[in-house]
Amino acid sequence: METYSKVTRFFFICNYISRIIEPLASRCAKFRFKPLTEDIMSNRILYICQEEGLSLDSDALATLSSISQGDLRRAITYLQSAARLFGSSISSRDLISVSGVIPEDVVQALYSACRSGNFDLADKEVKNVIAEGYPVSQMLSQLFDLVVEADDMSDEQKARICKKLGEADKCLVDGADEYLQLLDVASKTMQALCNLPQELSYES
Amino acid sequence: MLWVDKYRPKTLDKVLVHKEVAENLKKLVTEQDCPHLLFYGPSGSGKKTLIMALLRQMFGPSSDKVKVENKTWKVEAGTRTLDIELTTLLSTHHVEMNPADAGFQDRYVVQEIIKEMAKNRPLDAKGKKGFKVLVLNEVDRLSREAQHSLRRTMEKYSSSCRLILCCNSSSKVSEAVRSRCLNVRISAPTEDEMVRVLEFIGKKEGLQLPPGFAARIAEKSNRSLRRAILLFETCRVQQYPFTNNQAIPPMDWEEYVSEIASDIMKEQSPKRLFQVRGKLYELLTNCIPPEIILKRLLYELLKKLDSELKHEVSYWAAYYEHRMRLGQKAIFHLEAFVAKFMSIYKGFLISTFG
Amino acid sequence: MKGRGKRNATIVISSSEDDDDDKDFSLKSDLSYSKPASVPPTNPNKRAKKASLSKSGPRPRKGPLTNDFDEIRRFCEEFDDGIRGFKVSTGNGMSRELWADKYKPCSLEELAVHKKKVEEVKVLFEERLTASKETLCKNVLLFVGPAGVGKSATVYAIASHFGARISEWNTPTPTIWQEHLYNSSSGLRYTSKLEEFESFVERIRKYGFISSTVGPRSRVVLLIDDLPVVNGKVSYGRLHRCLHLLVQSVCVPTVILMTDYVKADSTDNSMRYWEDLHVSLQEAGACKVSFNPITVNSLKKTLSRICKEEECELSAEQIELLAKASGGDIRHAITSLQYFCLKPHQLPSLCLSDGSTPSLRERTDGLTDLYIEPSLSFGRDDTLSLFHALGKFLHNKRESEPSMVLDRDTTNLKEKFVRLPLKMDSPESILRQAHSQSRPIADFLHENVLDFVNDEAIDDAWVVASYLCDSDVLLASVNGRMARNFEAENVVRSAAASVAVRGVLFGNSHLAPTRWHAIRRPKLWQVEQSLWHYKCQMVSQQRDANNGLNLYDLSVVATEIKPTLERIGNRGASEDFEAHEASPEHMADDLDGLILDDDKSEMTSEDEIEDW
Repeated sequence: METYSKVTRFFFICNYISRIIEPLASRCAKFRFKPLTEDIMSNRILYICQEEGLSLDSDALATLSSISQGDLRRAITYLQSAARLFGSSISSRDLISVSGVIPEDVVQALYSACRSGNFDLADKEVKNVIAEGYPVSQMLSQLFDLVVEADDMSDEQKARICKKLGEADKCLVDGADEYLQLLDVASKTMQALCNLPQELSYES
Repeated sequence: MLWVDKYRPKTLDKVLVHKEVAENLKKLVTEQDCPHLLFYGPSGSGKKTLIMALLRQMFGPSSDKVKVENKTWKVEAGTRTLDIELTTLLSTHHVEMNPADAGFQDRYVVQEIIKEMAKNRPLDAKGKKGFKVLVLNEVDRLSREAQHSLRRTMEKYSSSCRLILCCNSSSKVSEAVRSRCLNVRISAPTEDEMVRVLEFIGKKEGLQLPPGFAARIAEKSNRSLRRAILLFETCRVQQYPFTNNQAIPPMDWEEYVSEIASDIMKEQSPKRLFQVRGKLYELLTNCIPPEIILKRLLYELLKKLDSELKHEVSYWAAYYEHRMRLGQKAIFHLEAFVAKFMSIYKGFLISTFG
Repeated sequence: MKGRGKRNATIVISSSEDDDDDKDFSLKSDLSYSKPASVPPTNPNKRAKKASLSKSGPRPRKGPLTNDFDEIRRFCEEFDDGIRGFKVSTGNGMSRELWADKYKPCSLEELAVHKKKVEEVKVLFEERLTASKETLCKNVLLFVGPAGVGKSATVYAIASHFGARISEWNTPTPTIWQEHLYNSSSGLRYTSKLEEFESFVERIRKYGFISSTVGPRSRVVLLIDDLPVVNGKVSYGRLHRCLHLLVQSVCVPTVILMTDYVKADSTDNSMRYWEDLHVSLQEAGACKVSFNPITVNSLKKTLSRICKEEECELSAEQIELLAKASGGDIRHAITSLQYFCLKPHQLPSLCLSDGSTPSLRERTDGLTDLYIEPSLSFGRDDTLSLFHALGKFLHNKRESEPSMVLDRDTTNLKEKFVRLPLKMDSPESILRQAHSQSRPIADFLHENVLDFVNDEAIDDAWVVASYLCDSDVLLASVNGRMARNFEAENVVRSAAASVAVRGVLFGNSHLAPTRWHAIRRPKLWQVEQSLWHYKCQMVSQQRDANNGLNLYDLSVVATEIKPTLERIGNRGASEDFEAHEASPEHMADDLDGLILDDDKSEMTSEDEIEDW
C-alpha cells in the first residue's frame, strides 16, 4: 500500500472491520455502512415491483424485510426467485418458501417438544426437521431468536441454551452431521428447561 | 434393471411426489433464462429425479441419450500437472459428475470442467449461443476451497454454463454459493405419498398387495422413497404372493450394526471393545461411511436405553462425529464413542444394580 | 602430527579441566555464548571432553542452552576429527582398503549368516545346479532381506563351494545429467536402466550364456543384484513382466537379490509393490529365501575376529556397542569398526537408552545425564527402535512409589489424576530417538494399546481412546491451512505424537497383568488399502452396470444399492455387481484374500482412479 500510494488508491470492502489487521486498518479512512432501515428497503422493493409488474400482498412486504435482515441484495433476490417460481402475484408464504426460512410452526414444535422433557418426542421432531430438509444452521438461528425473546425462561437457562447453540453452529461449519448436532441441542435445551442439574455436564 | 430406475418418472408431468415443485420448475424453465439451482434435501427424496426431469423439460428427449465417460483431466496445479480421473455422464446439453470423488483435488476439477464447458458453447434452436448445464452431485462434500472456486467460476462463466447443484444438507454448502443459486428444497415424501408410489409400482408390475403392506414398507424406510422401493423389490423376490405379516428385513449392514449394539450392551470391557473394533473394520471396508455407522449405532443403542442416559449418549455421539470430521482416521473416533458408551453404561449398571 | 595453532577462545567449553593427556591444546574455561557456526574448523579438543564424559562423574550442568550447544559443537568436532583421522591413517601407512571388502567371506564358515539359513540355501543351490537339462526345474531363487545381511556374500560363498561361476548382470552406471545432454547432442539415444535390464533378460532367455571362458562342465549361476530403480505404475509393470518372464523361462540357476526397505506408513505404495512382486514371482516358480538381520552375537564374533587381525584394541563392551548400533547390518558394523579403530578412545562407553536411566536419587558413574544423550553418530535408525519405543510406552513401567517432592510448590493434582513416576526417559526423548513419524506411532499405539489395558478398566480404555482421538485431530489439521508452514507443521506433528504417547501412558493406569504381547502392525493400514480397492471396484462396476442411467453417490451404492442387489440375486441388473464377497459377516475370512486379489486385478486395470 505504501509503496504505490502515489499511483494507486485502495478501496477495501469487508464485512467485519475487526478482521482487518491493525496496520492496514490504521492506514485507511473508514466508512461504516449500517444495515438499511425498513423504510428504505420497502421503498426500493416497491419500486422494483412497479417496474417488474409484480403485486405483493399485505404482509409480504413486512415478511420480506424480516427475512432479509437488512440485506437489500438478499431481499431483491428472494423477490426475483419468488417471481420466477410463483408468478407475478406473490404471497408471504411464497417468500418464506423461497428464502429457506423455516416456518414458525416447525420451530415451535421442536421447542415445545424440548419443553416437555420427553427425549423420544424431541427425537421425533428433530428427525422431522431433517426429513423436511430444512437447513439446520437456519434452525439454530431461529431457535436462538425464539429463546432470546422468550419470557418464561430464566437468564441462566437462556445462557445455557445459547452456549450450546453457538457450539453446535461451529460444529456444523466444521461439517458435522446435522441430525446429531440438532439432537444434541434439543437434549441440552431439554436439560436447561427442565432444570436438570448442571453437574450432569460431562465435558470433563 | 432395478425398479428404482425403471419407474423413475422421466418428465416433470409424470412426477408422483413433489408435484408442486415440479409445477414451479416447469414455470421456471419456460423462460429462456434459467438461474443456477441448488436442490437440497434428505437422501432418497427425489432430487435426482427432479433434476433429470428438469433437463428433459429444458432440452427435450435428447437429454436422455447419455453416455458414460471416464475422463481424465490434466490440470496445472502450481508446479505440477495432476491427472484426475472421474466418471462423467454426458449428453449434448449437459454434463453430470461427482466432483467430491476427486478427493483433495476437487478444486481443480471444478475449475477445469467449467472452463472447458465454457469453451464449447452449443448453439440453441434460435441460433443464439445457448448454454450447457453442469450437474454436480454431493456438493456438500466439497472442500471449502472447492466451494470458493466454484463461486468464482460460477460468476465468471454464468453466461455459458448453468449449474445445477445437488446436496443432502445445505448447511454444508457455503453461504456464498447458496446465495448465488435458487434454492429448491426437496423434502422427504410423507408416508402416504410413498404408499401411493408403491401401489403405483405394484400395479405396473401386476402384483397383489395385501392391505397395509405398502404402509409397513413405507414405515420401515425412514422416509426415503428410494429405500422403500428397494425394500419393496426385495420383498417381491423373497416371497410372492405377499403375506400380511411378511418380514421386511433391513439392509445387511444395518443388521450388522444391530449386532454390534447388542454386543456392546452385553459386555463392556476392553476385550469386547477390541472385538467391536474388528466388526467396525468390516463395515468400513465395505465402504459404509463412518458417520452413517455412528448414526445407526446411536439409533440402535437409544432404542435399548433408559431416558436418563439418552442425553449423555447423544452428546457424545455428536461430539465424536464432529471430531471424526476434523480427524483423519474414523476408527479412532468410532472406537472412542463405543468406549465412552461402555464406560457410561457400565457405570450406570453398577450404580443401579450394585 | 597435529601442529595446529591454538584455538580462538570463542567457544563454550565445559569446565572439566582434568585433561592431562592433552599435550597440544589447552582448554579455556570461559563461558561465552557464541553461535555454533563460529566453531573454527581447526581443532576440536575432544579427547579431553570425551575423557571427561567417560571417566568423571556428573558434570555440573550449566543449563539446557549450554548443553545443547555442547552437543552440536561436539558433533562438529567429532566429524572433523574423523575426517582428519582418515588422513592420518593414510599417513601412517594403514591400508586404504575398506575392511568391509577386505574381510569379505570366502568360505561358508566365514559367513555371519545363521548356519541353518546357509544350509537351507546350500540345499536349494544343489538342487538347481545338479538338475539335468530335461527336468524343467524352477531355476530362480529370490533372496530378500534388509541391506547388509549377507545376501550376495552367501551367493558367492556357496557358488565357490560348489565350484560354480557367478555371472553378474553389469549394473550400468546411472547417466548423469551432463552426460545425458552430451549424449543427446551427439545423437545417442537415452536408454533407461529399465530398458537395458529388459534387453538383458531377453538375451539371457533366448541365448543362455555364451561365453568362451565357460567350459562344458563348469556351472554358471546368474546373479541379479541391484534391480533397476522404478517409479510409477507403468515402469513397475514393465519390471514385473520382465522378471516374471525371467522366472518362468530362464534355464540357468539364477539368484535375484532384493533389498527391502522397511517403511512404516501405508501411504507409501512402493512397499506394497515390492511385496506384490515377491508374491507373484513366487507363484511363477521362484523360491523365496528371507534373510534376517544378523544377530548381535554373530556380529560380535566377526568384529572381534577383524579386530584381532587388524591389531586393534577395543574392549568387549565397545564391540558390543558397535554391534548393537548397526542394526543387523554387518557391512555397516565393519565400516563403523574401521572408523573407530582410528581413534578408539573416542568411543563413548555409554549404553544406549534402553530404559536404564538413573532416578534422581542415584547416579552411578559412567552414566550420562538425563539431558545429554549423545546418540551415537554412527548408529543406525531403523524401525527396531520404533518397536523398542512402543514397547516402553505400552508396558508403561512405573516406579513403585511416588517420587520425592522436589519443588516447594508442586501443584496438587486431584486424586484421580495422580500417577506414579515413569520408569523411563521422558517420552519425548524416546520419541526423538525412535525417529519415527507421529502418524505411524499413533496408529501402532491404537492397534496395540487395548492388549495392555486391564480388562476391568473400560474407563481407562476410554481415556486412552480419547487421547488418541485428539492426536488424530491434531495430525489432520496439518493437512489443512498449515500445509505450507513447515515449522508449524513440525510442531503440530510432535505435539500430536506427545499427546498420543502421554495419553496412553496416563490413561492406562490399571495395567493388565503382564504377559508377553507381540506388537502388531496396525490392521488399520490393511483396512484402508482394501477400502481403497473396494471403492475403485465399486465405482467401475457402477459405471459399467448403470450405463448412463444414473450416477449414484458412492455411499448410496454401498449402503443401499449393493445390499439390495445381493439380496435380489441380480435379476436383470448387470452381472458385474454379482460375485462379490458375501455379506459382512463373512468378511473376516475374505479380508486377507481380498487385498492380494484386488491388488492384482487393480494393477493392470486402466480404469483405476488415480491415487490421491
